[in-house]
Amino acid sequence: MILLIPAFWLGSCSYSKKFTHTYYQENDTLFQSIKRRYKNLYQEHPFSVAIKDKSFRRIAFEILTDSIKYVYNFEIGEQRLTDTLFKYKFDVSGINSLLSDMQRLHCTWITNLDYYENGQAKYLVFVSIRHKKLKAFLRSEKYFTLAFFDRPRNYDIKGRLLDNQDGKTLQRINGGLFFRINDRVCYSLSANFR
Amino acid sequence: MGIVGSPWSLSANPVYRDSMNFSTTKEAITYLDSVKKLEPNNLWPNVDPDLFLQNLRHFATKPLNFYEGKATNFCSYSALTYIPLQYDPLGFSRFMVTLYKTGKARMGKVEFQPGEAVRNEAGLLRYKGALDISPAGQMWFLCLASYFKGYLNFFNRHYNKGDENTLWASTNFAKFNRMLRKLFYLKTRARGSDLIRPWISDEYTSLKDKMKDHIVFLYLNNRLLYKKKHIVTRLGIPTHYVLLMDLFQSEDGTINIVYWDYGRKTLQQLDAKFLHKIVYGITFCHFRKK
Repeated sequence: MILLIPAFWLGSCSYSKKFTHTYYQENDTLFQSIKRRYKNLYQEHPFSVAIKDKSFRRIAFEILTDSIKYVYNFEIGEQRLTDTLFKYKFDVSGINSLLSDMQRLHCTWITNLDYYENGQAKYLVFVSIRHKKLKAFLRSEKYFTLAFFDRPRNYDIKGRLLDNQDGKTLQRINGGLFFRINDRVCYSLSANFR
Repeated sequence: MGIVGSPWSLSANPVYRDSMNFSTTKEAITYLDSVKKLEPNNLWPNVDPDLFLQNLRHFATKPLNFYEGKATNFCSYSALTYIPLQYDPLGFSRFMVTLYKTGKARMGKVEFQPGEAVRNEAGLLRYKGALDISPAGQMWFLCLASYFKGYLNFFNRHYNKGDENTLWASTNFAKFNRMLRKLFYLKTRARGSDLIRPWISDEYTSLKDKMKDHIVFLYLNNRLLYKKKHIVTRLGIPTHYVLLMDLFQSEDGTINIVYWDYGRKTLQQLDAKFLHKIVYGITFCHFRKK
């Protein structure tokens, strides 16, 4: 009994390690599809989307222009969202399909992040996942964040993402270290979804 | 809430008035052209002089693109930089060039002479987005953070690598107002505090009124305004400074707030209750007579 209590406690406090290894693999095709479609839609008109509630219904839609960012709050499927997408000349069906797939994957944030190599701006698609398997008793919630690069990246022997500029320094994205999933995709467990 | 018929024009910048300028963009560019080229300086071993001058040109021509960097505590310094960039670009360019050449320079009542740790770090900050390629921005932020101290900086007063993300760089409300008073020729008044919201019954009307003839900064609970987690915290504390650029009400009563941070303006729609909940400090200032 004495041994069981700490064992239960430790078990309940740890996140499912399996999750980080399997969630991407199980949904690889859909993740790649989301990334590809988001990049295409972004090229037409830059935007980011955050899903703000437990039921994955309320979103913050961020429309980016050169000088200003508009942040509007909507419920998925409501008419105001469609009106706004029309007004800003978005591909309405493309966005709706993306939002629907984000809901399926429990994706709470998608954006195009800039980073710099040798003075040049590069971009990656950044996605955050909120999942009940990442919640644990007595632990704060974590998000499974994914970075999608356009080109293969280098990792150290522990699988940590390396800076392309010098090939030695560990690269940080949003302040966090990232770990290899494959040569173009890496993940982190983060306290923030963006 | 809706976007159609927004009265806010993209080119509008209601805070700014030409008549308040101490110098112009053209004068700043002429001055920077006259500097021509800077030699590498051992005082700032990691600052590329060509990139530094390029940064200053960019600040002068596109002041609203000035960027505080990702995952830093530089938001307060960035917010107040609006004043020299917008109203005295020549003065700011001169200050930065002097700082680069001599390692010390004066702005307002402050004589900056940053220590070695700060001088060595300027130009090395990485993974901060566009701040990575802005050694001039890094110099300015690190100088401000190393010079001005408040109670939040009490346990971390000396710069160590990575401190741009820590309490070393953070700014309490009194420190923010002190920086404005010491750096610029401004008459500054403030309401609010680090823990208790200001006693204002109608923020919208009050802010709208202040904006008529003041530059207005807001000290906000950014965890509510720009959510990064889904958990609901009861303890509200302000963590972010922005420049208020416009405020207007939609037909349905929704408040549209336009503020400047992270190198661009943001328009967000809020209700009056939410606005009340997030505003912890209001600083309003105007220039003293020239």
